[in-house]
Amino acid sequence: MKCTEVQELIIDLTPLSGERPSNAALEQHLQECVSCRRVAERYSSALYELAGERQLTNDPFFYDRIIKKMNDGQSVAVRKLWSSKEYYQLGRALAGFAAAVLLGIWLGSRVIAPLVTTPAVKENYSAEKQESYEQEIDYGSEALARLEYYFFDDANQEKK
Amino acid sequence: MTDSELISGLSSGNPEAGRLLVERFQQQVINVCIGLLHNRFDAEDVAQDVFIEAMRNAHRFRGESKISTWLYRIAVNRSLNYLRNNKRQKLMVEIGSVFGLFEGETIRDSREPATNFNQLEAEELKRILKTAIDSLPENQKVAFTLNKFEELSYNEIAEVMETSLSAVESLIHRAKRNLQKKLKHYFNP
Ligand SMILES: [Zn+2]
Repeated sequence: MKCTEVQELIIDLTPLSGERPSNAALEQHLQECVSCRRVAERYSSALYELAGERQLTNDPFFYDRIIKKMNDGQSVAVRKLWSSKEYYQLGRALAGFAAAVLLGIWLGSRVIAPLVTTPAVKENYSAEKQESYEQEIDYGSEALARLEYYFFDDANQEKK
Repeated sequence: MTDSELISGLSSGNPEAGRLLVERFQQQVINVCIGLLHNRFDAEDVAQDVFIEAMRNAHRFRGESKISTWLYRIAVNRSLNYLRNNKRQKLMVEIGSVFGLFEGETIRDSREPATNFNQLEAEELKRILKTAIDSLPENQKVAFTLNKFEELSYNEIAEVMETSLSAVESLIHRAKRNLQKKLKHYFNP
């Protein structure tokens, strides 16, 4: 067996932990070849160390972190399925949004609009006032006409 | 809860099913991410995304493979995407491959007239192996990691990678050959 083949076999057979499964040809070569023996020792050590980075127990808070990440970063449609707090949180967010919109409208009409659009409002205001005066005059004329009708036309009709 | 009960629970948004999925497969998912990313913090971050994707797409799981195979597939894809998008890591790998695997202090250390294994720290050996695995072509790295660290059979790896059994055999064979070439100078100075 060539050293190259033996070293590939070492990579193949060395386990993450514990003993390497027995292979007669490999063991024979390792007994005779210092280089391959050195590779085998070092590879085994490196693999063991690398395997030590693995997580071997469950993290009990991992699920909670996933849900938190979902809540922080995912769409409402996705979160809705996965958290019982969803509806409450969504409702609170919508209520806040609605309150902000109403406050915006109120502020807009009471504070900002008069400042920004003062001339237009005044023009409209006086136009409205004028229109209402005209309506009052119309009503006055109509009332007079009705009185004339009752007092004079009826009298005329009776004469007839 | 069986696999199919778990999936139907996930599809209907049952939080208990989500919790059970994470409890049952947490280590496998995190470990495959660690195996590909070699960074605990990044691996946990990606593993969280793996479970989020699994919960979102549980209704698409057709039950043709085991849940673990499906999760491994998501974990591999997400880890590879993470590596592709992580410019810093990508740059490190590229620098490593441009200059030959272990240029720099590792070469100085390993080419010193060290006569024995004890002169190299175990940590350093680990770093050399990690760099060697990282410098493998992507598919070889995935197949080798799933086989060596997750101890998946070639058939399972073929399912995870959505490829043929012979392709997996070839990938792992080439991975071992490449590792042997990369490691021989450094493990046998
Ligand atoms: Zn040899």
